[in-house]
Amino acid sequence: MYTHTTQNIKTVSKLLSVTSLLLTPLSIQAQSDGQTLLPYKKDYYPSTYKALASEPVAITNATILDGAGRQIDNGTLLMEDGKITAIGANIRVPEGMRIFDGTDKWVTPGIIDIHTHVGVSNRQHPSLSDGNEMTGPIQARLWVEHSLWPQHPGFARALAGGVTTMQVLPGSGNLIGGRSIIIKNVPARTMQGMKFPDAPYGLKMACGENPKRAYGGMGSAPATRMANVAGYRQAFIEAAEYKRDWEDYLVKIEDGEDVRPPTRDLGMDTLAAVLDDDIFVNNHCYRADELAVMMDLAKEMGFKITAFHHTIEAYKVADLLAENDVCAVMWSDWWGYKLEALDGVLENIALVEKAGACAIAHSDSEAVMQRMNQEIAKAMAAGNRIGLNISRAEAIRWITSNPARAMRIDDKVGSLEVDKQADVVIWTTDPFSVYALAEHVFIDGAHIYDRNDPSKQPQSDYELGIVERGDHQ
Amino acid sequence: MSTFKKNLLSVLVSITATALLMEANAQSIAITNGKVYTMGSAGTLERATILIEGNAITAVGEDLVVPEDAKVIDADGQSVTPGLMNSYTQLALADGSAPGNGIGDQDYGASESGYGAAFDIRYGLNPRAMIIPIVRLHGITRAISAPLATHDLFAGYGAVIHLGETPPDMVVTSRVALFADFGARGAQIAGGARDAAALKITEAIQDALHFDRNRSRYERGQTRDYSLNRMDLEALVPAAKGDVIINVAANRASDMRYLIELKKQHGLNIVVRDGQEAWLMANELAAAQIPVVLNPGINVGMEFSGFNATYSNAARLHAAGVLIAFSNVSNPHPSNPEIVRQLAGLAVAHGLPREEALRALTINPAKIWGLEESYGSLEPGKDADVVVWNGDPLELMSYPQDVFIKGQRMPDDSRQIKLRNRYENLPDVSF
Repeated sequence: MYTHTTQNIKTVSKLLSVTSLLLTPLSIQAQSDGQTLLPYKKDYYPSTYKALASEPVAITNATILDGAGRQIDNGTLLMEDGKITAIGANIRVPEGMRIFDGTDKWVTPGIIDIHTHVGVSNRQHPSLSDGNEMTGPIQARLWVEHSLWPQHPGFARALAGGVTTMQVLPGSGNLIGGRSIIIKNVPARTMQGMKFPDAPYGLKMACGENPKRAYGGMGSAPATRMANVAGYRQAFIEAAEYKRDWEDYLVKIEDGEDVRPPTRDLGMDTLAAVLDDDIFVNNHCYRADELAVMMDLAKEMGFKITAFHHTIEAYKVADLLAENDVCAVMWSDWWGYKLEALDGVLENIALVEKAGACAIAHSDSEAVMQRMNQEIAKAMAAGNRIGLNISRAEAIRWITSNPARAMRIDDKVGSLEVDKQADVVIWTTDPFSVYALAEHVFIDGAHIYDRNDPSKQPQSDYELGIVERGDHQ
Repeated sequence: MSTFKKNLLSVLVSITATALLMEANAQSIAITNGKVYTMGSAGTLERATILIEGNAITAVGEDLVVPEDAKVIDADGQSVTPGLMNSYTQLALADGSAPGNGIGDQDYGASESGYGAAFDIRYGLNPRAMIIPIVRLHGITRAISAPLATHDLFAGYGAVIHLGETPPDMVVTSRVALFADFGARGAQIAGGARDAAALKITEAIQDALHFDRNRSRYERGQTRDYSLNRMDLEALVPAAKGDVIINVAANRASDMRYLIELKKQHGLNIVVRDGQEAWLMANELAAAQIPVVLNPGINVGMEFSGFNATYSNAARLHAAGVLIAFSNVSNPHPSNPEIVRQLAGLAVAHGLPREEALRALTINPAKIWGLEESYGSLEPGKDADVVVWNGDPLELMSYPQDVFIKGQRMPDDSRQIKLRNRYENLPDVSF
């Protein structure tokens, strides 16, 4: 039984501001601030990102795909103070704006890649392989941002491909791989300098072959898909208890009881936040049957799976995905590299779109990340070949507003709408052409990349003095 | 019409007539009105006809007479190219799409076998591999299928295969090249350093040549010890004599310098593979007449060996006069063989002339791999590997309407298509 000591007051004061508790009626405090003061709700490594300097910009006479489903021919886009201030076909350009003539050019929102490992994983350098903690299948305690190396050249390459926002995920070797981080694709000295302000965390989970092969191969659990599922269930059962312990504790504090807080557990912190829907779930999962099991499992355990990733077989259960409001994150045409990836079809993304589910294209690759516009072009063409009639304006959503929605930043980025952050790409031509290149990229209105000016092509420390700026193009 | 063209036409027509007589039973095919990228001396013909008799092209020209009984494919508004070739794959050697996938058979390498140069993929090739119809429906009709180096600098011999429907005869050229590794991977295999790899290569070549000159003494056990086993020695002889291509993977610019020297010292027939930094040695490679098989989609040099990887590698090599061909060699992103067409388009976006990109998928590999007599251009006498595209053959949204391999039209069917058909109308699924 718990007794009052000075030590305990210190512990509580770390958790909840004692002064504010004293100045505010306890019941109100617990309801309004108490929830946010749960330790698992806090961001201990907050963003220090600041938008780069920008000037007012007008892009004129361009074909604009706004990411919200519209194509505007001969369109104008205005941005100022980091925000989009106007978009449309008949926009007057105020004086004093820097004008980018968009004649023959196309404009899209900055591309969002919902699935990368840039900065945390590298096949060639074991010393930079920091994304897959293969020392136990439940790694909810990990935050991938603690591995993130801002000097990875893949960031700047992705920028040259028009990628302005990305989710960096832990690897898929574990049932639960840890927290993801959402970043703005700007050069930075620190992870915090790239961290997308006010974006939520994601959680990485993985089905199927990877965890069972990794651990089964070492003679430990999970060695089978059923042990995979048992692993998730057990973890979430424990998380529910943990969450209840903390909530009980808050109630007791609220009632003025002098109680000791439950023991912190980093992994349980994250899973409890998932149960509270503060952290969204990214579930690497290939096979249709496993997708269906995971949707049931999420219901059983009381959390939501926001997106299945690498969903090679999404087209087999596209109707279930729509019904359960789960996004499918897919490639256009990569398949067959392992058994659970054998049933890939070219129409996957298009069929998911047609079923009314949320379709997303991703890279999972430093190479593909630089040409995500090409990936959606292939996927759209495959769909249209079987008569699905998908327009460019719809397809561009697969790498803009749909991932933004899944990542819960759609109020900020993902479409070109007034008051949204001015993350914008000007393409040399139709981005659905193999010959199209991102010519200018803006992040929060700042002109951060210019294909024709190497001094406006960020270069990492890693390459400095070894590679001529701009030579990678 | 120019006199030259008229003369050419009459020659073509007479060839057609001869071919018709020779193969009276085979139905001829005429692909008419297409924009024809011949990849041959005729260049690109804006509106031309291609005649196919049996498994060969018999005529190509702008005003050809179409035989009455010919099956006509109207390619109005469409493009026609030779079937494309991927110059480095493990196609038909594994059941999945890429090596190392753990799916079923994997016959591209045998790390426990003890064989290096002697390894030959020919009996591992499976013409019924499920990936073959999938890849050919993307317009790929030929490929190099090659072994992967596992434990020896010499991975063994690969073949040119065609992706048609004629099992078990998918081999066009057996033992087309000996595949080897230098660079970072070679250094690793050789025990840790490039110079160890260089020594092993020199020693292997010397031993093979010595063995070749002293065969009878070898059989009597009267030769010095060799670094290779008997099968590997035997296999290395033609490559060591320069009679067969050695296709060497290497990325660093300094690796190119080594390969140029190696070629000069031993008179080898070298083709570079990967070559991420080859553009830094473009003039030297051109002077040494060393072709490069590259993946135009690599520009992140996270391996120190390829720091200067660039999307304009192809354009810069071509500008210097290096003969180039394309593959999707899988670093850093493993991908499927059909992606090579997209990668060619990417090279164009980064400065390679468009027709040169098509050449790197057709006539250039024909030249590099010694296939020019039968493949690589739409010219009379060549195998009828012909693709009709619904648009620009390099564009992402173009796809083949018709794929002919050796004169046979490939069916519009594959395991992928069957899967899609099965699930296209959910929730109705017919198992």
